Amino acid sequence: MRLSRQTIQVLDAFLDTPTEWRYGYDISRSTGLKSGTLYPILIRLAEHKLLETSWETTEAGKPPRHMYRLTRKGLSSAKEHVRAYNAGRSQQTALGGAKS
Amino acid sequence: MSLIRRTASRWLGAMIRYSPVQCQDWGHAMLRESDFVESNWSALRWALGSMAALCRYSISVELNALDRKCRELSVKRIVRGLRPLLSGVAVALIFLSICIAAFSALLHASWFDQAQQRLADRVLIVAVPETAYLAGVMALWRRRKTFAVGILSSGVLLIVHAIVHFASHM
Repeated sequence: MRLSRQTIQVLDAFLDTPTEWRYGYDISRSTGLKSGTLYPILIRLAEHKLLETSWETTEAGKPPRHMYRLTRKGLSSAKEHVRAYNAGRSQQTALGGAKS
Repeated sequence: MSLIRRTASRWLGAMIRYSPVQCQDWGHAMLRESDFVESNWSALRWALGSMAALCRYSISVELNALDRKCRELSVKRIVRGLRPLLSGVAVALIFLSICIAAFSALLHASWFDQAQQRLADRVLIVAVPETAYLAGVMALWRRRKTFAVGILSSGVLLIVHAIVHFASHM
């Protein structure tokens, strides 16, 4: 699965609190991604079984909220991808520094 | 709830109603989150973004369903479906060939009056096969419909051919 920079950002946000359930708006705020970008990523991650979803009833009479958490497979995949992405970035920075 | 927020929720709600069933859970998830967006304009932007995401997801779900349906319609399946129809056509053609052979034999018979050739032609090559086809179609329509359609289509072709033939040779 090829991951975009935004997907890496989402995975990184999940890695901050890997065992906790997160809400869509909460992830949007921590990553700065708009709903139109965030939800396709969440859907794709859930379809690849990297993300588990659940409905939480917070207040009586109010509709439930959708929550997300990385699966075990998702957690190891996220760690691997975020590490690879950060390594690539630091390499690019080093190359940029050497050129200048 | 302000007018802007209410409008945003209504738009997204309408979109959820018209999206495929598999997408509706995600639509409701996006709609519910819009309640937690602080400002009204941000809530509107959230709803618009959600609509775009839902639209993309719905299209991909519909395309996947279409792709599955196209794969199910393989050549093998079409051929299997056409087999009874082609059998009906084949049976009709065999019967017509027998009628033509009978007509040909009649023409060579010593006792046959050649002045009756035209009448014999119409009876043996049009009337007899058409009657047999009609009887066959009526008998088989309920039990073996596709087979009966094969016979019926042959009958229609034969009658059209006969009409054109007689019209041009009058």
